Amino acid sequence: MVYGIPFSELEIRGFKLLVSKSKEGSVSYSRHDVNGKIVANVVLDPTLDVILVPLKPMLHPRRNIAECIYLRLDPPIAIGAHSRVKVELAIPVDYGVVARSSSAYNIIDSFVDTSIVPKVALYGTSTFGHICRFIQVTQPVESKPYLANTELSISNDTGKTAIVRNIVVPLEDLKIYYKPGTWLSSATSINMSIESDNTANTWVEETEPPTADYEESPDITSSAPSIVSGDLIRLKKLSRFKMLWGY
Amino acid sequence: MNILNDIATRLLEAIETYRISSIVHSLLIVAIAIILAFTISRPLRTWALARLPRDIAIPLVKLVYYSIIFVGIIMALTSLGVDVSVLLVAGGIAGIIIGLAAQTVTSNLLAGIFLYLDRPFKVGDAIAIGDTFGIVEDITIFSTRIRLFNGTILRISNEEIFKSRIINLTAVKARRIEYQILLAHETDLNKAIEVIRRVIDRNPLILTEPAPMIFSSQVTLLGIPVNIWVWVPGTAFFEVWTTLLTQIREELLKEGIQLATYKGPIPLSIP
Repeated sequence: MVYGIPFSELEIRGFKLLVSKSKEGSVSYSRHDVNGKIVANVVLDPTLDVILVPLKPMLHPRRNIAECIYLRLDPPIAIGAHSRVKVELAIPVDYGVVARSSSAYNIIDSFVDTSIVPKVALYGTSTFGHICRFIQVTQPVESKPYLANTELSISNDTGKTAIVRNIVVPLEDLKIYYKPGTWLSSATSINMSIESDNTANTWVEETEPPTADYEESPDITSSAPSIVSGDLIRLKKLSRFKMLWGY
Repeated sequence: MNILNDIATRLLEAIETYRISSIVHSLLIVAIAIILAFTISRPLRTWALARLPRDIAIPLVKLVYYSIIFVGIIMALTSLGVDVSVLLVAGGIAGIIIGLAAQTVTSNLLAGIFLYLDRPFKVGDAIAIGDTFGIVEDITIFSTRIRLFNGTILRISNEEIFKSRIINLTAVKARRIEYQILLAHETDLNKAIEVIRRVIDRNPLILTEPAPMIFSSQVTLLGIPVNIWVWVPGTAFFEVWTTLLTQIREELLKEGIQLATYKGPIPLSIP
């Protein structure tokens, strides 16, 4: 069992997801940790399908904390004056469990792969900066269920060679696509335009999924109220991000 | 009474001397003032409600509305030939008397307006005023209500808040938590730092940037103080602050690292 396919039982990286039906006809979803302890439990409308999807990494470590993703490139990328480079990247996604009907969906649970700790970082000053989900990006790109492939395009508009170690990208417009029936996922392309020695603009480009059989993951920001962990997401829209404190 | 008599006399004189046009003129001035007050106060109300707290917005709109009408009436009376200076002097004296009587109310009102303009905090912020810590529940035109961390509600006059030293605990994106733990002299310091770093790395709410700092800068008679500085999102400060030290201590003890337990006499001054 994989992304986008209704399941009744699914084991994924230390977690066991169960959709069970009682004698009375009620359906419940539960997630069990490696010790068998129930860590999430929801009673569902029996007409709903339960599927697993990749979500953009903004629900963990907690909702309403991260406004952006902070990519730390390892190794850094050097770009010559007035040049442009394209690099393949893989960014971690959150797992989302979605209760789906023919017309609507609701995120009923979300968790991260047990192999990663969803850390956060501050970009900028403590007063005017941004709290971001911190992601260490390594090369070459690995293929893992919790990694979405994407493309990073950097243009150096200055007259000097620039070395890019950090990229801060607004989460709002980032989209995640997945191929139903597989573990494959991808994210919309990330763009960076270097303006000076210390400043750059970043934004997410509206791109098509890799192939026509990919589906778009539910948009967390416009989703109906989720019952995962309380509040609805109300984050400031950041469609274009100005990196003022270096890159 | 004299003023009313004067107005009545002037009106009678005007009628007697067929100065009907003056009366019409005065009524027209008042009518224009009312229309003007209404025309200005409607968009002003929309503007003010969008930008100011309701407690300030509504009185402000009413103040503007009645001020325009008041000016219109004064102009109308002047056009009738009534000496309004007496009226204004009387109003001024009454204002001073009311002002003196309501000095506290006025100072709180002004402090409320200044607090709004200065915006040191907003509803929902965690603040410290002197030794008082709590969440701002409501800011009214005269006072501010703070929900203390023990659940009780504290009402403080705006004047008192305005004069106080206020620390806003949630206006910042990130805050630093500082601990100091004392390790025994025989402790392997590098191992202890490694264990502490592991606990910090496992905690998702501790920021990667700015990087956590774990260091020791002195050795004392009691042991080796180790400083732990970590940054956390402002909204997660309390949660991490109240749990991290326990996690670090447990992990250190589990790894066999001894904390200082000084049993000798306490020296009067510790270097």
